[in-house]
Amino acid sequence: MTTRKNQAIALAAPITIWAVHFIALYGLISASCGPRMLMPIAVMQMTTFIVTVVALIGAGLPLIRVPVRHQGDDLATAIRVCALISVIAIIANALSFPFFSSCGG
Amino acid sequence: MSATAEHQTYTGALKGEPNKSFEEIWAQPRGIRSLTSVSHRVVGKRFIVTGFIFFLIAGLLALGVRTQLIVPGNTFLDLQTYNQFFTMHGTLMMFLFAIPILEGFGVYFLPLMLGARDLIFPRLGAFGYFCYLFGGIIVLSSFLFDAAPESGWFMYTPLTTKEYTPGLSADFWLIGITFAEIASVTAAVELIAAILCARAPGMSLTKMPIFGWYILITAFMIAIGFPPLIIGSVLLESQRLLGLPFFDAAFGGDPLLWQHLFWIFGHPEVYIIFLPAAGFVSTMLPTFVGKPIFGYGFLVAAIVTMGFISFGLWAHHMYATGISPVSLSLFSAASTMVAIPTGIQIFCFIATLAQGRPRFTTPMLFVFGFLFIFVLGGLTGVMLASVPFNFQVHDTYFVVAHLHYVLIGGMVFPLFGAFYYWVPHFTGRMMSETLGKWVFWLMFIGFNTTFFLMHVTGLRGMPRRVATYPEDIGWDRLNMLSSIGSYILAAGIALFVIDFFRHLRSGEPAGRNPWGAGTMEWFYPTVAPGYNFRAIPPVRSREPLWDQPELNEDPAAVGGVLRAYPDHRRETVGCDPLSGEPLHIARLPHPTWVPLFTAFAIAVMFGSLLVSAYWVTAGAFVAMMAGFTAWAWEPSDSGVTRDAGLGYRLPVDKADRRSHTYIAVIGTLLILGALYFSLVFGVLYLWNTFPDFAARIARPDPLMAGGAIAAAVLMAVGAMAAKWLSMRDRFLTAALTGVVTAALGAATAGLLYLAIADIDRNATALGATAWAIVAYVGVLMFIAIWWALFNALRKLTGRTRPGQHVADFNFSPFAKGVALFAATTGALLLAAQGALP
Ligand code: HEM
Ligand SMILES: [Cu+2]
Repeated sequence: MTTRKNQAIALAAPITIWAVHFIALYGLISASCGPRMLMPIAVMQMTTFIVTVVALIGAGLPLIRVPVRHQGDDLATAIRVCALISVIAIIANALSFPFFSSCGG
Repeated sequence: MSATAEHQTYTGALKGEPNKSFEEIWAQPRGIRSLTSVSHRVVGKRFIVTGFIFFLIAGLLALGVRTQLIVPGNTFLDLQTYNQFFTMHGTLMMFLFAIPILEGFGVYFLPLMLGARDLIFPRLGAFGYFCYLFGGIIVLSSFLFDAAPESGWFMYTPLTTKEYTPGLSADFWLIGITFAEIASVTAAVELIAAILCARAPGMSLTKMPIFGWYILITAFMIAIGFPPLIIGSVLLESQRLLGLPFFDAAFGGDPLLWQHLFWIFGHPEVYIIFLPAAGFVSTMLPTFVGKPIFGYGFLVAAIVTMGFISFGLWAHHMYATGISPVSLSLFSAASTMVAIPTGIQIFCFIATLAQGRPRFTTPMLFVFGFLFIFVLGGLTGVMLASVPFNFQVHDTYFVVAHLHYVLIGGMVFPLFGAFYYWVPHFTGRMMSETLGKWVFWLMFIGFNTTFFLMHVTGLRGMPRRVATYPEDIGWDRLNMLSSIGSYILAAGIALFVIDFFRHLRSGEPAGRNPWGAGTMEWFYPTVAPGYNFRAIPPVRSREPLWDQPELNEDPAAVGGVLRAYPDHRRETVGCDPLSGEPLHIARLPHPTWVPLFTAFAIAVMFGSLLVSAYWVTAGAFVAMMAGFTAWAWEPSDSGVTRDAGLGYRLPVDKADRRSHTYIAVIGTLLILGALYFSLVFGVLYLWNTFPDFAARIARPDPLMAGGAIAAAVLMAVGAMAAKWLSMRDRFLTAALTGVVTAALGAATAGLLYLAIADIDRNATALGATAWAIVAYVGVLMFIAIWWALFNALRKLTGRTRPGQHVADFNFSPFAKGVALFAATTGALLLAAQGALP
């Protein structure tokens, strides 16, 4: 693995994790709030919590260890900003979940 | 290591033109043969001109709408014509103007900026253009048959089903637009491969002009975003033609499924339109400020995250449909989050401005217009993202105002700036600065008059899409002013067109790099020769014309790779996607009729479908397959190495994971996968929403489904084996393995068919969608089989020489991808057998 390759991965991974997280939450809601009611809402919220923690760890990694090739490496900046936005967006996805006691409004 | 090195002695190109000079090899065909041109310079210009014509037509329709609304109780347009006008206005603007014209700029400028002689798949570009043209003609021709679509640009069901729209109008839309979308996705693959795989030596990803990033992410978004609508349109069209009940509530279908599929496409579409336009802005700003763009790394991050997050907000168009509040909170989150990357971009633009003293040229005025209008549109967007406010103004003129602030501010103003900026590149002459300022102010004032007032009209309760309104409820004066504003806006656009024709004859000659830009498209004096670069110079900076003085000398003499052309072929250099180091020599096709022929065959196929002439459809299908086969049949040049200059010795058309053909296969799989998952989404959605209907469906046959999985796995193994054998030049066994692979593909499709044979596709929407998935996998299998047999045939007829492995090397991932879709389908069927209650 060259540093360049690591950088490409570090750039794409956090926001991809955001996408997976989003799909997972959408799926969980559909499972819990759809007519089939495949899981109770409390279970859904618990699962959401776990999924979110895992996603945050994954998306946050590049914040802690950015592969840098040289001083003033613009790609390293891009990686950090990307990861930061992804982390915030993952939190935002899940933020209101704990406050629902039922599916109806 | 492959066998390449041993076969360096081949005389290179079978299709070389040894008697021609470099200029002659790259010469554009003239007269009627200009239709055979595949050059990105020609194709890009065609995209732009055609897109602009659609813009003018759609603009005239909008003027018709505004004229109808100028006074209450007006009878300028009857009700049906009014509906046709706003529907066609929205449709033409979104599908046939905005996306294609922006892609046209990408097609035209990217190779120039990145240091390539042509787009990496020139024939695909030409093919995409003709698909777009024919699709557009199909949609427009509906006016001739008095069957113009009239259900709004988002074609909601059930309004668009046979019961409520009996004529052909919806079919024109569905077939014509799907056709034009094929053009958009082919262009997307082409742009991805071109950006990643064909750059000047040394142009790493971070040395790429920011415009490249913008188009790269846009292309990925098109690849993922268009498939849901393509699937939706195909399903709706088959409901209309064959009576399959996909969206019919009486059979467990759901009109909301259409809305989901439409908006999973429709919202990202807005960002697909915005991103390239923002790319124009970030190309023009540095030129006129005289400093590089501020915050390159921040911009890259903003572009990438915007590309993703913009997919997570489709349901904010469906707030009023009764979606559960928990999901609303999820979509609301993403709708808010997308403001971060937008804000970062705007901030970087403003910071760039602050770095120096900008020159107030016409393009710059349009950039300012963009900043002003787009920010206002963003503010009303934030208002709309709040659910209670949204309920209040849903389907009123407030929404019409918002969407035009975003679209015209975010796209049309940058586009006109780009016209003024790049026109010298097309014509060699400058447009008038004086008239340009007039154009800007007319457009700016006209635009704000028209649309700012619409916010108020909307807050006063006027719904969109109404052909007329009564007096004395406070809407008259606002509408009158809006209409007058739209005439002023139109006057600005008309002045632009007039100035364009004027400048063709009497504009000042532009010379070399008229604006003093830093990017490579200005390397030659205008108009640059069709091959872009006589030799492709190494690039060490993001603004090469500013930082590399040698590039400002005689462009024909500047040192670079590929100056010699021993094989007398069109060629450019293919690079490593990350580092930009030269990887191989990519041979490019010469002018050919095949793209036009193939696109025309498809046009006939779709057109005959419209009038239910199915024999013609069948004939056109055969012609299309013949066209694609002729396209691929041409002799391969690979398996040799050549001196490329500057000390590089490079293979020709290397079989490598980093080469453009391989990347294009991956890009295609991405599109095919998005199509596939749109269908899977449909199945899961219907299954989850209507348990009663799901319970009524016959169970799939588990034995056949399991068999299909096994056959799919074996097929993937077969393709890998064929590649392995071929890489070792064992062509006979490779060919036989290919035939076996094809047979396994056929078996997979057959077993999947048997697995669902008992399901009644007319009785429930879920059953119909299951059939649709299997049918789709069947189509992919057909392609895989065709490809496998094609490769085998070429080997058996001696068309593949030792050292030529590209075809099998690229078939392998395709076969694996298709096998994966087939196996997933089998697994879903097995799950249905066990898990469906
Ligand atoms: C050139 C000046 C333009 C004017 C005067 C204009 C005017 C209008 C008006 C009055 C409507 C509302 C019709 C109704 O609801 O009854 C409308 C709808 C619409 N416009 Fe424009 N427009 C312009 C440019 C554009 C552009 C550049 C785009 C996109 C790139 C666009 C996209 C749309 C869409 C998507 C709709 C909704 C159509 C529907 O309801 O199905 N417009 N326009
Ligand atoms: Cu939206």
